[in-house]
Amino acid sequence: MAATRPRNRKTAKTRGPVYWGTVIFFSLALGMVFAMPTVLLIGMGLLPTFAALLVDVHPRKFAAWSVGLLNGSGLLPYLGKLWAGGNTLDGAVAVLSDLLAWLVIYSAAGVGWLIYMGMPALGALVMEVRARQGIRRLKSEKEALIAEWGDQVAGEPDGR
Amino acid sequence: MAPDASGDAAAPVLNGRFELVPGEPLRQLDSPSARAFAAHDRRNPDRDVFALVAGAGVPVRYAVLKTLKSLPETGILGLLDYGAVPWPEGGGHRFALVYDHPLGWRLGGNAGGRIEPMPEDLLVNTLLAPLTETLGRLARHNVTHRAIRPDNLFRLEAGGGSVILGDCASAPAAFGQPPAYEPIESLMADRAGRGAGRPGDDIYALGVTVLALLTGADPGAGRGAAELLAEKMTRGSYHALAGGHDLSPGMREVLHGMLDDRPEARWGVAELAAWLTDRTVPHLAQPDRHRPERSFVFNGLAFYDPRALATAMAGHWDNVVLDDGGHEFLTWARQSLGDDVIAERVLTAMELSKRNLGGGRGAAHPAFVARLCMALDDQAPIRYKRVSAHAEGVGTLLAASFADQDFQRDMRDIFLEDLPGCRIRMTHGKGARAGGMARTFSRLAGLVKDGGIGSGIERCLYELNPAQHCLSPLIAEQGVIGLCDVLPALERAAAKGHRGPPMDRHLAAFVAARAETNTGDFVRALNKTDAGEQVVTGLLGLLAVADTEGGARSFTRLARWLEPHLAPAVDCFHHSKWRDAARAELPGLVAAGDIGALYRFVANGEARRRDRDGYAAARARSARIDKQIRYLSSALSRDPGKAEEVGHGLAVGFSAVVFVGAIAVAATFML
Repeated sequence: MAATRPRNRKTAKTRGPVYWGTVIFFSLALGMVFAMPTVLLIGMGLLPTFAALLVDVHPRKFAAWSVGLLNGSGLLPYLGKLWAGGNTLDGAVAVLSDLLAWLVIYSAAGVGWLIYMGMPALGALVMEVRARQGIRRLKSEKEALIAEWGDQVAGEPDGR
Repeated sequence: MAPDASGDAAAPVLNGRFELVPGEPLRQLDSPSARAFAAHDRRNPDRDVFALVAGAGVPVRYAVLKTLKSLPETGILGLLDYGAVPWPEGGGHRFALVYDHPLGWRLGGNAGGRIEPMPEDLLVNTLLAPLTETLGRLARHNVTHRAIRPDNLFRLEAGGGSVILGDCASAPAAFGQPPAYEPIESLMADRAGRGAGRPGDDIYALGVTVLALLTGADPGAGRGAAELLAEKMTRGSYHALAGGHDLSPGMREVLHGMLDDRPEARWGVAELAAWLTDRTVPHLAQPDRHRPERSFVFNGLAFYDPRALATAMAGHWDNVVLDDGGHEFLTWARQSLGDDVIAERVLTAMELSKRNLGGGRGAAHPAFVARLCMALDDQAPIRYKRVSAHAEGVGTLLAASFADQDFQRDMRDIFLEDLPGCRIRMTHGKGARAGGMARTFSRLAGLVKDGGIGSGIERCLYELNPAQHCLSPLIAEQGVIGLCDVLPALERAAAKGHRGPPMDRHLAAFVAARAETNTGDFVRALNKTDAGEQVVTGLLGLLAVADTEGGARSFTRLARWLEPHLAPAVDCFHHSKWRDAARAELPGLVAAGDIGALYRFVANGEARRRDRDGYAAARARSARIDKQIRYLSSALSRDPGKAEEVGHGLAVGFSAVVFVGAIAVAATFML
């Protein structure tokens, strides 16, 4: 009988919303002291990511990573523009006043959510393919054993 | 065989020295079971020799040959050599003994011929005195003659002179003795089962010979063996044989002593020598004339004598019924016979036969009757149904009667019941000699009980008869006696196109009995009928043992005969490459005809161990593969949770790729 595999592997202690909220708050606070325009833009631009961090209970934070990476991809051009303009507070406000910027940044985050929610179907397909490949490889290996040792090698180890 | 001078078929040559001439029989030198032929000594052509060729199926006294050959020639026909020779009559081999040709004539003519009476003085001086000395010499070498009779005595010289003893080894001990010449306990046994006996048996035969030569008459004339036995038992041997003759007082004295039916009272060499010196007559203990108070009734007859009762019971064993478990019989033995020794033996016999008696009631069992008879008469032979033999003669009787299947069955029972061992213990007690012989018979009982190939009654035949040729139908006609001749015989037999393997019960038993090394493993392997490769290993192992003791030789036809039967030993390799390599190697070994190499090839322990271990590992690996396939094929491997996790992982990966791309684009624009 095939061994069952455990459904969820918890290898590390799960960190909850309080933890991440605290981290985000103090990170932003600290950043406000040293680079207020950048931090302001990041803080406002990555709000979907912070939300994903708070709601994602999986220990590996797949949702947070998926949303955060695409959220960050949408934010990157505007950060570049801010830095190119001297990283001023006016530059940050200008970006934050641009509706198109909000659309791009938050749409990217949205795409991240969509990808996160849609990929499991692809994952099942990938697993199916991997299982079939594994079966083919194992059957091939068994055929090689039979060719080397004869048909009786395919019996049970106790001679049945 | 070397060609003879006449150009006829080659003459058989014994041990490369003595050339026998089958075309020149010497009837005047024939023995009852062996024919005499002219012979020539290649080493010493002037020496006058002749050969006695034993009859087919007659076992020779192999145990005494070496001693006889080493004895000085005085007093007995000089044995020069012995062994198996190819024989033209009937094909195959025969056992031949080469003797010095006696210078004088045979005393009594051929068996059954007329006996010339001898004057008493001449008889005493030329026969009794020298033969007494000869018997003393034989006794010092622990050899009994057991063939003393008028027609087996020769004059030492052509003109007369002393008398010498003739051949005593071309047949079993006492095989050719007329009934009159055998004491009661020997006469009770089958002539092939009388055993080597004791020196007193020779003295008895010499006494009857003296009587025959004195009177010129056959002492047993007109009476058959059964009649003579009955008369000896009732009247005593002296009165049964010499009672009607007018003898001198001196001869009456000496014959009384030599023909005494009590072995312990019979004259020996010392008594004879004393009488010959000064006619001293040793004091003869008077026989116990005590008659039991009451008889034991058996078969409607009343018996007072335990010997007579034992003889009657042995002859009608199926009428022996002990309704009270033998209590009445035991009481009679203790109280009426007044002999505690017999009573104790009877009790022992009953104890040993408990399983035969099945609770001690009812019909007799032949083994119990046999033990009972031994207890009543400790000098009598083992008597079991039709078989009657002394313990030392069981082997020769088995050899002489092996072709009789019913007889074989009875002999098998005798071994299984360990009757020879029981007889030895009753006769010899717990002495060293008794221990050795009893252990031998105990071991043979185990072999008969085993009954497998290489054991069984066949093994007993060859263990007890060192000169018995192998009776395997494959090589029987070739008369193989020595182990070194087995493979050459099989090589010749291979030409006949036998389909089965070159091994059977007789061959396996013969090799196992003759081998000096322990063949137990090979015999056991030969009997593992459910493991073909082990049977092949056992078969080749036994043949290799025969090859080892014969020196390195090539047997290509035998190897080709073996080849199809070696398949199990080659096919048992699991690994296809090793199996193919073994199959490729086999023809070369077969072509070389080296049986020892074939055995090493089949019994290659290292290669088989590697194959066995590899196969076990392969089977375990195959089982693990099956287990993994079952898992991957089952729904458990398509865990929705796992699929979700894999999908989320893919999502993160895709997002990471997009992010890295965004960084690259941003960096490009910034630069």
